[in-house]
Amino acid sequence: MISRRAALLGVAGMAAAPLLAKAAKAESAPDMSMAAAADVSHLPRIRHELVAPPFVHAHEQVATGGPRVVEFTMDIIEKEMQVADDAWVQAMTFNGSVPGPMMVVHEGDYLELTLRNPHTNMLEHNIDFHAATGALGGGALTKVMPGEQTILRFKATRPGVFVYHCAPGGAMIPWHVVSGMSGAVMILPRDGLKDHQGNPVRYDRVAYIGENDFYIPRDDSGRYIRYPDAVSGYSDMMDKMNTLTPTHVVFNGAVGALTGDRALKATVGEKVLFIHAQANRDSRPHLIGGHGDLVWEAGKFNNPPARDFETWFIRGGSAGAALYEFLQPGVYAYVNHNLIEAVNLGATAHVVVEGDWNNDLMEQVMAPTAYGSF
Amino acid sequence: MKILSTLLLTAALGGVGMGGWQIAQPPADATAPPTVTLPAGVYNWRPSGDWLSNGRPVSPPLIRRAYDAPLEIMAYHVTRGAYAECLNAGACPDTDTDLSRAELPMVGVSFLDAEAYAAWLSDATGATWRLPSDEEWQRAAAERFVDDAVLGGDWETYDPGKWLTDSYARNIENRDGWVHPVQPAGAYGVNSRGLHDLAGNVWEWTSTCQTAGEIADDGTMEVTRERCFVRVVAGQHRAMVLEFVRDAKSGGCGAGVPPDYLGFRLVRES
Repeated sequence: MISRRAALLGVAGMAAAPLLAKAAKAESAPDMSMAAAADVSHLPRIRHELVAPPFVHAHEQVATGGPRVVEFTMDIIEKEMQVADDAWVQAMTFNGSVPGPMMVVHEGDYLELTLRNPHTNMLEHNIDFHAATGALGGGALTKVMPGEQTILRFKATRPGVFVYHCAPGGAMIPWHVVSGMSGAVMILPRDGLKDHQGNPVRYDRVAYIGENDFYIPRDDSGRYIRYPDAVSGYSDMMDKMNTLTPTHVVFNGAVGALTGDRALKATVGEKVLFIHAQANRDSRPHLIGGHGDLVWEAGKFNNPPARDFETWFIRGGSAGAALYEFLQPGVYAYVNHNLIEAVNLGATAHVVVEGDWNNDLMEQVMAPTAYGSF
Repeated sequence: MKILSTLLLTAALGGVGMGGWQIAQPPADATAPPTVTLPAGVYNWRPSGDWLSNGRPVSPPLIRRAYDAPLEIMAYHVTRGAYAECLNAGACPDTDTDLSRAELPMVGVSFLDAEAYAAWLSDATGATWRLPSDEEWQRAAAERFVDDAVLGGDWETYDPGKWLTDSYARNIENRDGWVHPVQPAGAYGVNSRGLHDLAGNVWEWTSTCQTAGEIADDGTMEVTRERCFVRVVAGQHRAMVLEFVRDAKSGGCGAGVPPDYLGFRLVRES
């Protein structure tokens, strides 16, 4: 383990690693010695425990007070995860899940993250918040070697849903991201979401859909290869990544992670805010049998939402949001509407909706019967 | 084709009495598969297919059947070792299934592959082997048959949303989301008739075509449309699968839960 890690870092042994890490920080981190420390001591603080996706920690939709410092703590966990029936990946995770948990604050709040890299990990990690301003989204200030931890605070100045991801530099960046290291934050306007006319809208549930593309190498007989750790698979995976052809495109980290008894649930009349984050690759969410009532396609709430979308576009490296009120019961499939990716590569979630059928919206006038029989 | 739900079908009596099923010992080769013989008797049958009554969708009735003829059926799925014999004889298609573990059930087979195997086995043994019909499979599966009639599926209670959610709930029952590796013969236990591994993670091809029909007021059921390009596969639930499909995992519809693996067992005609 030590030798592999040392080889990756290009140094001779463990003892040299901290020195190298310091050197790397000095290189990429800006000189902040002249800047006065921000005084947030007068602000109230609140701490949220993170919840694994597709769920989101409890939060206010409309802020009831002034800005505050919102604290989170995440452990980075490297572990093997099952991606499909026959495929595993040595995943790099924020807080043990793929995608990483969602963090929710309000515009004007300060998001303060304690990022911990336990010594049980092999690799250096960091976090780049697309919502944050400066220092590579915080990436330059959060590089943590195994056995280190750091605290970053940034001001939430732009309301919207934003991707965060690990970006440790060079080829490590795409490798960490396609090994699972991405997630999303939501920065709500202090007075909540607004529709296209500026009227307040609320949601009853959040469905946080993180989409990941995986590139899992196969052996000569076509079986997916399992590696003892992430580093062992690096070279093979890099070759696979460079084909730009993923082996799996999944929601919530695995094929079927949001289907069957893990399907999303709702009832007729409920408004669900679907938040779709993809850190690496374009996607096109579509709710089969439903719509996007209000769609913030680029995910930024200062722009009025578009209405009545059938399919919306998620740029790779961004998150988008779509609000939908379920009007009919039944089973809905929420897919990436590249249907090859949805059906063959895994990008399908199901929503099971209870309630009463509305024959005005749809009715089976004539059940299928013999051709020409009427 | 007409089926009377109240009709008790009769057939020529075979040589087996009412004493119960019998099971042979595991075989040394493919041409002597262990079978069980179900005695004549009564059983419940839920027809497959899409049925209308007065133009409205309904579940087919659960029909009590009495059959005078025994039914001899393989006690286990056809194994990879057995299929390999057919493959080596040049009589079965190469399905790309890993055949190195001969004792595992053969999976990754299409209806057409299973038909080819049945023809080869018939040639090799001089007996007539064929796929069971959906009805025969239910008869043999007995308590392992999962009744998949739509709950509340008559017109008065017909609710497309409930139909979807109930079907979904039924099809995911006892499934944890992952498709697990195929298990050796016997892993899923034996039913009251002596058949092994029914309704595990291997679904079984039947000879029954996709059908649609109408149920008259007097209960008479008439198949009005038949599409044999698609056959019923039986297991934890029934599914309609195109005859050339070997892996149904990618063949399901948007909101369905497809069969894990496709395999088969055969009936021997007496």
